[in-house]
Amino acid sequence: MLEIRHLTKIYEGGVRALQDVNLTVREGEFLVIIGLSGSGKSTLMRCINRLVEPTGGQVLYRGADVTAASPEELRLIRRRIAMVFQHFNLVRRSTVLTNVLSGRLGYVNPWKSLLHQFPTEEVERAMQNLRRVGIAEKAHARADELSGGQQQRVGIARALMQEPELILADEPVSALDPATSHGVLRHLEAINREDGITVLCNLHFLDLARRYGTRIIALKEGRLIFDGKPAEIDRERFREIYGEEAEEVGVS
Amino acid sequence: MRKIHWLNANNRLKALLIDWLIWAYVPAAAIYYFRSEVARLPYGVWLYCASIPIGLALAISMQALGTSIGERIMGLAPEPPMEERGLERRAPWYRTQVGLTTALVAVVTLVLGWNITQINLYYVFTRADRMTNMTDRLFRPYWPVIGALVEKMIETIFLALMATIISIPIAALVSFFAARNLMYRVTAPYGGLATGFACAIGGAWLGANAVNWALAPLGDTVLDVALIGGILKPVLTIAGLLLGALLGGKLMRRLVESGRDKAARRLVVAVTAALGALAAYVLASLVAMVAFAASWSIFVRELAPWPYLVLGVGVAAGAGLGWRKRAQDPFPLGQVVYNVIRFILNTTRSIEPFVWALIFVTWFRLGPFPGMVALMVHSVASLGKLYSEQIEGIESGPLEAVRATGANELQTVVYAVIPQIIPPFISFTIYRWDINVRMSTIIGLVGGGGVGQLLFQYQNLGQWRSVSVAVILIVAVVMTLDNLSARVREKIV
Repeated sequence: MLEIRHLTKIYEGGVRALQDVNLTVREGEFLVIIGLSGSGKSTLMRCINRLVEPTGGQVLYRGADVTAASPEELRLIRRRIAMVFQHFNLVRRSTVLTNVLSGRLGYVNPWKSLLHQFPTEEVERAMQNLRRVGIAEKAHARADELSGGQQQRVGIARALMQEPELILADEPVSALDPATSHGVLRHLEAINREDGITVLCNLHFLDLARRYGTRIIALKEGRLIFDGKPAEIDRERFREIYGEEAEEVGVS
Repeated sequence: MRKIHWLNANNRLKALLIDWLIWAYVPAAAIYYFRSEVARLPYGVWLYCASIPIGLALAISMQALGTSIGERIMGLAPEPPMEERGLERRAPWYRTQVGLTTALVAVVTLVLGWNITQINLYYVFTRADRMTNMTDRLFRPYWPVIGALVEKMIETIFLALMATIISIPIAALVSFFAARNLMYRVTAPYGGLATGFACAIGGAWLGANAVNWALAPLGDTVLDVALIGGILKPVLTIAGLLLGALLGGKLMRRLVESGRDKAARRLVVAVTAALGALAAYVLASLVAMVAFAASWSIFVRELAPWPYLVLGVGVAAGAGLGWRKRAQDPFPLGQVVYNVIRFILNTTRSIEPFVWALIFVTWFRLGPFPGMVALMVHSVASLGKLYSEQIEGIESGPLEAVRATGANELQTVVYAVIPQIIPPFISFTIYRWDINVRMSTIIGLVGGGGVGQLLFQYQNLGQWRSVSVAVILIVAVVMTLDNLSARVREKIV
């Protein structure tokens, strides 16, 4: 469903974040991206929905060229690709419900939405998604009153509002403790399996990647250096990805 | 290696400049201390210039004598590393050059300050009884004037309120253009911008003059020509400006889109040449006005043909610039707008409301109206800066998140920017109202209305018992509002 061809990103100042990355994402996958900090994982995700403008190469989403899309076309593509962030990126002062509803902005009447007017069925959909991630009772709380794990679940509910075909999860659990991490990832797993939504997920810890991923790719200094099944990552591969001195640490 | 060497040389120079400044200050201060004697000398004023070479000589010798202040500030002081120094204590301040120089500068400054402000302890101790007459009456307020004062106090509070309320939408609008994070991404193509700009100037000129032409034959009728002209002129000028900008930009876009690059280029060169001539004319007029109290026409009469040559240089420079750029090249429009708005806000803010009131009193006559406008202008400048800093400080994460859902730009602003800036906006606005109430109690001094007008009237008549009532009322109102606004702000943030 998603094809990335020769993708390159050089930031101003000359940092080569991505170098000639080629990747095909298949329908229904839970694809985990691993790699050291600064290896280009986040940049890769942001190039897919052009929050970061790639400097070279192509991103094809269901045959449409994202990299060449006009602002209006891009908006329609972004509508179908949801994103979950490392720091949740909720509007702290708005209520949980408003945050979730903002995931629907691409679909509703833009003028009415400026006055915070949403159709009843959209509010119902928002409540349903909040029930699904288990925090419906917090709907009218302010977003910054929630714990980290709860905030990330709001982030997932916001993503579900888009009725996406693909979810980009950019280090969704890096800011959470181990137990909460599993809770959040299980929600993503359930969405992946039950709704058939493809998930692209950046993770730091290899054991989380092994546990949740159906396929793993690894980036190092902006290059794709591994693409395969979780079980294929042995000691040698691990050292290749994380460097000679790395020790595997786990999240239990 | 070479870079470090260069950096060192740069720091050396800065250290010397700092020392030079300090050591020129000391003799200059000494000369200023004896300014009345110096004024009597022939060419005495030129004595100040002597402090410059003296300062340099002193600075160089002080640097040779050990570690100077400049060297210490720039980190050039040769200090042995900790392990070599061991337990040896640092030299006390009165044995280092830095300490002694600092002490000298402090003493010189204090003595000079005492001299300049004419501190007179003799008066402090011998004339205290002169106060008793006034203070005695200040402590026996004449309460019957309270009615008139309360009436004026209400005027004062509303003056501050209106100034604040009117300034909010203007400042909020301006603040978006003065926010670096929003503006620095905005660019526009050179060609369209130049043509649009030129057409905007033409349109504005046309709009302004159209009113004059249209109203000229109506001068003798019963119509209020001053009013109609006063309304129509700014409206038509702005309309002409916007229309011109729109048409000019569109014309250029057409030319570029239809692939007529040569025509586009020729137009750009012609337009930039005209703009160059205009810039030269404006600059020369400004120089004539500011430096020689003259005008362009006087320049032409007295100095021909030189003024025309200046115009020629403007044309050549403009055309050259236009030739070097392609019409589609991006121009950092956002940066320019940001800097211009910032400059205007900063200058407006640095002029006190008092001075603004003086200006507006000439325009709108005495009364609360000019006082209100003066406070409003200053509030727009202050709030504009505070608001824009809030916008610059918002988290970019939520912005990114809302944009990623496929929301358009306006939705992104409404859902990700505004919720983040509303509380600080309200807080700053209340604080500003607070300041405005305090300012408006005394803006009456220059004829700006409010309770201050009455206060100064009483004071001029020597009615100290009435002044006392006014002061008590002002203190009470300001304290109450201060308290109130602090509480409201606490609740919001």
